[in-house]
Amino acid sequence: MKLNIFNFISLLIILLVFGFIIFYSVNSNKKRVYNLENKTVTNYDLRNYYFDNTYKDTDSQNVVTGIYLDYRLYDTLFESLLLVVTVMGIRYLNKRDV
Amino acid sequence: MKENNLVVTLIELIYPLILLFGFYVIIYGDVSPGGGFQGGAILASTFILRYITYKYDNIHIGGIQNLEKFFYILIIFVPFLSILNRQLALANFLKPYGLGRVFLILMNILIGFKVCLGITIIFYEFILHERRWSK
Repeated sequence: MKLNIFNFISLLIILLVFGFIIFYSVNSNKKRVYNLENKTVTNYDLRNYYFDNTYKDTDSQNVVTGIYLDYRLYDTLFESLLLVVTVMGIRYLNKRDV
Repeated sequence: MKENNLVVTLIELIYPLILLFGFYVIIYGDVSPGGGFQGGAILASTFILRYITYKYDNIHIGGIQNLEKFFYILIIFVPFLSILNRQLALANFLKPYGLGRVFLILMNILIGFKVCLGITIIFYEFILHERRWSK
């Protein structure tokens, strides 16, 4: 693909739009008000929930392990499937000798 | 290329340390940074070093791939055991008995071995492909 001025400008516009969306969503998260256990808490991100409750919920001292082996375990299954399918594809293309 | 004695000796020295570090990263994945994927990649580097030092390519890739698929079936099977005692799929089935950490270590070991075998297969497939191509 050649990088002419039109591609460059469209890439810049896409980057700006997505950057604005991400920036706006991150900033608006901080102003939200949560209602947890009949208490109204301001400025309580999902991050704070994981920091407070991961050891209680999952017996894991590492928050990342607590997420990928308990809260989001289905994600780990498909992530492992990804590597299996990659290996199958590499072996198939290698045998065919394309 | 001829084997270099200096390289072979140094790699033989650090070989057990790499194995030990890989198992450490896998088993202590729920305490310290690391986990199954990272530790599996470290374990796979021992197979790459085995190729670099001795130029062995008499590896049976089909058997390794069957072993990898077996590990993947175990990875799917173990989280579904929690249906039996917690009536909840994809959860920690040892948590009610106070052994939640055992489940995390078991899953990390399974994921680590599977990733190690997968990366080993990819590496040796590329090596054998290049060798076939150059003949």
